[in-house]
Amino acid sequence: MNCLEVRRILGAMPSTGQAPVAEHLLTCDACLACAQRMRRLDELIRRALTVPVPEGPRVRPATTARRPLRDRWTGWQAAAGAAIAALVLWTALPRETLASSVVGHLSHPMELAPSVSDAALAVALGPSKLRLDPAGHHVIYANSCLLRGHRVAHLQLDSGHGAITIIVMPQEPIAAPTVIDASGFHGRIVPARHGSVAILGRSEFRAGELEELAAWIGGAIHDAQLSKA
Amino acid sequence: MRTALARLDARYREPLVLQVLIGLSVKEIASELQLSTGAVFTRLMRARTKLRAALDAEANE
Repeated sequence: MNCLEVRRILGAMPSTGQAPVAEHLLTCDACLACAQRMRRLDELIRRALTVPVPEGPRVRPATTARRPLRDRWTGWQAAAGAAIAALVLWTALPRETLASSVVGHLSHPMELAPSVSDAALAVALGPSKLRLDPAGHHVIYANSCLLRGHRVAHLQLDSGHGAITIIVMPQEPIAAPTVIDASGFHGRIVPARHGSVAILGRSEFRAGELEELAAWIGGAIHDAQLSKA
Repeated sequence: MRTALARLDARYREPLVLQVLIGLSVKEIASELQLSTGAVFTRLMRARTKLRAALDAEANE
């Protein structure tokens, strides 16, 4: 794949995880810079499109004529009815837990690489605004994925006795660890400095391995924006 | 950026908003807007090119 093809793809999909693009970015600084420019542009677009809703007292539109009492009562009844209907619907909807969202996310196909370089790791985690210092861990997959409406850093490590999945979820703080044992995955979601971290494997972890990984990822993952400052 | 987005033709702005803000894939956007994936791809690429040009022009003023 040449520079022109890569830049066309980056122009349309700056966060693409396509293997040929990732491979090209490893060897082409100019295209890597282009990818980073495109992602910064997307961040500006996202900020421009996210309009904060101001808090405070609601302002009643200025009007001199008051509606008849019956009309106002009908309006209140309609509003109350809508609120009750929304409440009933909200309580009736099934809730997807963080654990089930994580396990569900792992059912999507992943393209594993023999090894992910530091540069490719930085590119992959860029949209999550996170940076990882692998420090000897063998990363075989890295991507910035959407999970429950937020960007998360999705990693796979080769532990020597099977692949271990790590998902760093900065927007999902939790108070206490959650044990996961579903759909063939075993592990835990643990509270972290950056929200929470899911650590999962297909096979059982060795004694103390999960705790070691949790401690390592807690120290190895950094906020990319803070790191730049 | 808001001004540049507002000035962007709707045919370019719509797929961009669906991709960046909602997180839809090119295929999902094509289905949503009833376009071919090729057309969505081209519009996304042109949308970013136009936005970058608008921002550069603004910076040079």
